[in-house]
Amino acid sequence: MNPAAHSASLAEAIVFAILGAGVLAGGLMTITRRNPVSAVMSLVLSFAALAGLFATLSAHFLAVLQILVYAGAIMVLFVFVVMMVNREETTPVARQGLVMRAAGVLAAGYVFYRAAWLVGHERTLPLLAASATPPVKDFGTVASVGALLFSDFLFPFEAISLLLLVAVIGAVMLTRHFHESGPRVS
Amino acid sequence: MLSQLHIIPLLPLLSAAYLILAGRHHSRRVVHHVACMAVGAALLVSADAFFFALPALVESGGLTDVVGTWFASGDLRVDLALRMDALSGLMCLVVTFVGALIHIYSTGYMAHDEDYARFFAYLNLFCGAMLLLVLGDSLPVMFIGWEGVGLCSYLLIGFWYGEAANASAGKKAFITNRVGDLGFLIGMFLLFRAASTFDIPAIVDTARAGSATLTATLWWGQPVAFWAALFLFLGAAGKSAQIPLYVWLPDAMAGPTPVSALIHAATMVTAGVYMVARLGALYLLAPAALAVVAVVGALTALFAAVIAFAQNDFKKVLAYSTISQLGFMFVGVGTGNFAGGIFHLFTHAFFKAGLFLCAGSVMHAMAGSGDITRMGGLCRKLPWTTWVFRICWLAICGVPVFSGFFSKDAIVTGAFATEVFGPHLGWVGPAAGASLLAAALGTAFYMSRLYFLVFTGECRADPHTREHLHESPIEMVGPLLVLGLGALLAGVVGLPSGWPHGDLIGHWLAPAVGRSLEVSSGLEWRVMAGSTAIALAGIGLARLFFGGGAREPARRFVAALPRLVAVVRGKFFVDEIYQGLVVRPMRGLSRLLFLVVDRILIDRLLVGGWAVLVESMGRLLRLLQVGDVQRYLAVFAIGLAALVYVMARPATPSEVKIRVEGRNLAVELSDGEARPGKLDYGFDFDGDGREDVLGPTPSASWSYARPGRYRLRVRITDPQWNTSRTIERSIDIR
Amino acid sequence: MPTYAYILVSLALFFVGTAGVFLRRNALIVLMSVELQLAAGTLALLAFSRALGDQRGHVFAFFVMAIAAAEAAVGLAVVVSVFRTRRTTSLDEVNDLKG
Repeated sequence: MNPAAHSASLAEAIVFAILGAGVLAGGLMTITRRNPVSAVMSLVLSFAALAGLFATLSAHFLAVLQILVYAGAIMVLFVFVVMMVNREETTPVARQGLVMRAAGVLAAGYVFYRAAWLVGHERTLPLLAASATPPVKDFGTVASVGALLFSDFLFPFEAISLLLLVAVIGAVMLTRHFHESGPRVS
Repeated sequence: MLSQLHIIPLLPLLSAAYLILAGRHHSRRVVHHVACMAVGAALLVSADAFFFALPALVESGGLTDVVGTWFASGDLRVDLALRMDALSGLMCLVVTFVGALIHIYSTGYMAHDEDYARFFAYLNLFCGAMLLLVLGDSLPVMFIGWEGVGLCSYLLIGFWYGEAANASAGKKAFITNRVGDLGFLIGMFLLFRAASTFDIPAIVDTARAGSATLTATLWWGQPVAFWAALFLFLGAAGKSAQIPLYVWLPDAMAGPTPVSALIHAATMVTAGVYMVARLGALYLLAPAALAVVAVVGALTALFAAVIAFAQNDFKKVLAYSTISQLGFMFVGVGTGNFAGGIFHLFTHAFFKAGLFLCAGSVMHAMAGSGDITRMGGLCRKLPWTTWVFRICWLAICGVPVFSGFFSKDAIVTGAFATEVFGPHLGWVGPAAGASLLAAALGTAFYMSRLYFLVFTGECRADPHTREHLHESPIEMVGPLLVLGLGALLAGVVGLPSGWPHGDLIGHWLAPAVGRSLEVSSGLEWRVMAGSTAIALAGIGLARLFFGGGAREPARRFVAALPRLVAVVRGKFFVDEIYQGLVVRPMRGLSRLLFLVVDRILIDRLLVGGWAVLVESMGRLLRLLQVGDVQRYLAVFAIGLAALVYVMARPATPSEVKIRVEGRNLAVELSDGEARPGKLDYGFDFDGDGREDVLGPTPSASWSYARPGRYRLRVRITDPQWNTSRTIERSIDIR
Repeated sequence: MPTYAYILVSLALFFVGTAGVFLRRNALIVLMSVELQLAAGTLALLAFSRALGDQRGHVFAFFVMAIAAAEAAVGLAVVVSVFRTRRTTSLDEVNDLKG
């Protein structure tokens, strides 16, 4: 760990704390809101904070993408659908098999607790302790990530575009109206 | 070609296979040509081998032919081996010769039958199997033929299976034979145990040497040889229709007459006699077994003869006659007179087959009926048949010059003069001889009855039938004539030994069955005179009752002794006894098994039970399918948590060493893990719940203040995962 | 900030998402919880990517994002479709595979 970075870490820590709290708070609110619209908004908040976290990780390209794609496009999509389907629930939590689900949550919690302990215990490992600026100067920029995308990962990149095409077609197909006079796109 | 013995059974078998598969697509001409040529060729090859190749080799065991190894297991090896020695060569000739004649006869008799090809196929199959039986060099090979002829008997008796009665008769024959076959197998296995081989020459040699394995006592104080011989005789009794397994033969008359002539007169039924003669050395080793054979033969001869008195079906009379004559043959072999028994087999083949073919001829004329009460005076319309019948009739009665006379006398003389029985069983010979004389009287009587009622006097048939009485065509009469000639002349091979060219057959068979007994000529002449007198007396008695087709005297006799006659007419109710004693219990048992085992146990419990099991398991498992994905995921998470729990715990130490010295205790844990030094150990020595020693070392020591029983607890912690495991031990401090 | 901090946040976020997936009745909320889980994973990816100085983590995260978008689109289309026929978004009432 670079001792020189120690002094700047207080500011870093505060920023991290705020952003982290934002992410988690947003997430908690998402899962606890009764009103789906509120849930969507909370999620947007969470994603915004997450974008900030990405920035602190020198993942500049992805931070912007997070805002554009996630908080922008995906959440807008969610908003639209919520509007279409808006129906307030009587009980937010599912009634059936509540015991089983709660047990599942507790079990998941146990797993994460153990994982967290491991992480905490081993936090002095170089992998987990690093917070220095990354070696490459333009780490995480559009240019450098883009360069990777178009060289080593060209094939997955093209495949992803195909996947998106499939998703679009799928979404269209799934939501078509079928009437006597032939299918119509709603 | 001479050493290719396997051709002899092979030709009929191939022909049979072909006819079964493709016979019905050919014309009758093709079918009977193929069939007759197959048997004819077998006859030619047999004759060629018998007359040209065999005489040179007859002393040294005859011709052999090994086709290949049938099976080998460990030290045991059974080859498909054939052997033509003096005895089997003679049998081979008889089988092929009579077989060929009957094939030719059948072309006429079965001419209007629809299943022409099937008949000839079965007939050929029979010949092939019989030849295999005769030529087989080892007991398993013989058994193939044995079973094969049994099968063909079943197939041919039930040839017209459209009638249920015929099928039942076939079944009865097969099943009764099966009982005998069990005896054959047991005997075969006993012999194998004693002689370690299935080969007949080896067994015979072992017996001739009087080997200890055969003379050792087995059960009830009797030697192995006795039991083997006895069980084998059971097989012979089944195949050759002796008491108690004769009941199938009269029923077997349901089959076509050529079948009766070939199988149930000349060949298959003689297989038992042949087998005993073949294994004669074994029987000589156990005189008690020979006695059984002789006694059974004598009783059967007499018993069957009496039953024949009251039979009104032409073929049934002949059937009981066959049973009786087989009894004669068994007395022959049962008194050690193997050549005599085979001699009678030889002559019997001619005259009995002749008699049966005459029956066929008569029934052919009578439009299929065999009821002698409706016959009579047939000598006028069926001249050839009548003449052949006369010859065979006189032969079977034992009238001098005809063949039967010499063969019967050979047996009776041999019985009186036998020396095979020791002091205890010495009575068997003369007793058997006397019984046979009585049986001979009976034979003469019932055969003459048959003759007088069928061929003499006025015809008692209805007018329609009387008009259509006709002699048989040439293909039927021809074989008849040949057989008649044989019945007349066959005796020449067995003239008494004192005479010129005497005992030809005895000398011929000597290498195979041993030398014939020397009989005093005085005894010979006495027996000859006696049997001639008996034969004439029987004929005369019959003439008294039935001469000229009369039936009145017989009717008066019946009226005088109604109950006796009823018993004889009812064949002494043996069939009924068997039905009650054997058949009904078997049926009952099988029904019981069906209801209990099949219906309840198998259908309900095992099959239905599985279905119920599967269904309830399905119902149980269906409870898991809640249709709720979130619950499924929850279960997934629970499983994952369990996995993490198990994997993250520190491992149990492979060894916990505890050393106690006085009040000092030293504990050491050996960690089987590959990761030493990464765990924390907390030792609680005094059981107070607080850890007294903590640290990364897996060992610690402690001094106890007071003696007593303590609970040592060691807590192993993995700081990485924050999981721990506790080990407990009880410590006694003194 | 040291990497482990980000990892812990990621774990916590994933747990929050999991709880939402297990417990909520509304299908849309469940979908959003899944998005939370994906986001948590992306965060961990980027944290390790910085620690290792390897930009391939960024590429991977890029793909995750694209897939999340596709999945959200199709998932929402399904919810809409189900809503049209059954007039409900409650997962309790969509259990045709029961039994």
